[in-house]
Amino acid sequence: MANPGFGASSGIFPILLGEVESGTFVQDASNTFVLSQTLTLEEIYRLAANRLFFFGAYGPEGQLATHNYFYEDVSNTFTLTGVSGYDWEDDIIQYFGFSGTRVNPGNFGNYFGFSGETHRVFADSLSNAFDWNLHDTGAALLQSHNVSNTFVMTQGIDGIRLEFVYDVFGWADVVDTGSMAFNRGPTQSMLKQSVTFSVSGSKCPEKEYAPFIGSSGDDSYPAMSATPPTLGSGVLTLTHPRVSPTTTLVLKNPDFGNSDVLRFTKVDRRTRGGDRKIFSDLGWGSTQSFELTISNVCSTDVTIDEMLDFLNTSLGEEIGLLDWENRQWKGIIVAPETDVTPQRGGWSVRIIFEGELV
Amino acid sequence: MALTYIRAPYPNHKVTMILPNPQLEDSRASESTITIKRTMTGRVITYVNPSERVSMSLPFRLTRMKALELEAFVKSYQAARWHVTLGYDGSEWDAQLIGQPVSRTAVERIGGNATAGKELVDVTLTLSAKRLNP
Repeated sequence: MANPGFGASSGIFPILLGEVESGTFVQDASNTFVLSQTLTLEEIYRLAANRLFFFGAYGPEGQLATHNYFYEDVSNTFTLTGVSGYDWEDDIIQYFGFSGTRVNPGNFGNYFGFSGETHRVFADSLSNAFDWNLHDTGAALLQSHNVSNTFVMTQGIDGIRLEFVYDVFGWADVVDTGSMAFNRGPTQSMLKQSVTFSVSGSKCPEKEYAPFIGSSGDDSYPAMSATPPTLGSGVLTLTHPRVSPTTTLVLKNPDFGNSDVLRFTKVDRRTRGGDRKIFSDLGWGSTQSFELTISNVCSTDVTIDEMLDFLNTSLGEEIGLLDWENRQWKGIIVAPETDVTPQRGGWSVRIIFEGELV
Repeated sequence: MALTYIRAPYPNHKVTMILPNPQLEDSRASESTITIKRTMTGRVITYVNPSERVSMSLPFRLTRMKALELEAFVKSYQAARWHVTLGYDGSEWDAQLIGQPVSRTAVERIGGNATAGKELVDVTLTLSAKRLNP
């Protein structure tokens, strides 16, 4: 029987040291990656219910091991590939270290162990392989369980003078099985494996648009954009009809406190036992709406009558909305019966708009 | 500095998002409920519906760009379970979004003038969560 193989996950993650240290005198800068890996074993055990199969062998240094009757020689290798460019190579030394933590999931006997290693290498020849192992404790198998582990990898750098340092950290995880035959071969769909990472460094990821996107065997959710939307400056402008508009109102930008609401359709039920079950299907509708209060619109720019005419002529029809961040939306005004209130020298209005980004 | 980490989908994480710690008025409430009945003689009988889940309210004050990241994250993973790590107490949660995330522009700017994206936004996430670590 051909050797089945599990798919690989990979990602290219930037190391930010170059951005921290470029052109400066430094010592002992560091970054930390957190790699989380999860194996969802439910499907494996469901398939293996009548034949206790789980990929792997076991032994003193058990490799993805379980205690069962059919096993394969499995190795799981992390390969780190580093690429660096810099001017003062003699002054740069990099350290890669691993420390593994484990999750011992209840009665399920397996846990991940990881022998941490620290490698001291020159940055231009960084390529190391680390093995990690799944040990067997001999406890009873459950029908299903998830195991997960987290690697914390710390990169340090010693430098005297660094210029134009950049690094690319490549991560690949490959699980290969050996030659032992078994009746039911593992497939990619049986193993859901994922890797995430985060960098706590100098780039203030809690302030900027900086999602850390790894890879996952669970592709049932739409991909999230890794790049931020482009924002500009604009003035709130309503147009009707949206295509080939004949009416355009250039208002003022809304007051602070404007809201942006995301609404999703969900089923939220409680079981008799008290647990809460929440379900939402991605195909179910979702809406996004804005609530804007625009005040002190000068009557010489747009009159109250023009605003009311706009509300009447666009009743229930799609309009265009160019927001103050220069983003174009299409949608409808949800509450056209809104009050348009005269103020000293102008008027104000509160608009609820529901739509989507064009 | 301990931060808030949200990873999704749980358990097969793909995306990690780092947020600042929630504002001080964050809250947790038990989802356990009881029904109280009183007999004609005044005796109190309670029926309990215990739950290990809690409802969490996490108010964040974010930069506009981080709020847009959260919006993109929610749009992708609103139907998924999230792995939430609260940095200020180290607790980890298997959570699901139950409320409607409302972003409200705060009366503050960063950067001093009306530069696009240089505003602060208040967003409150309402989650139903089960604790993962003791």
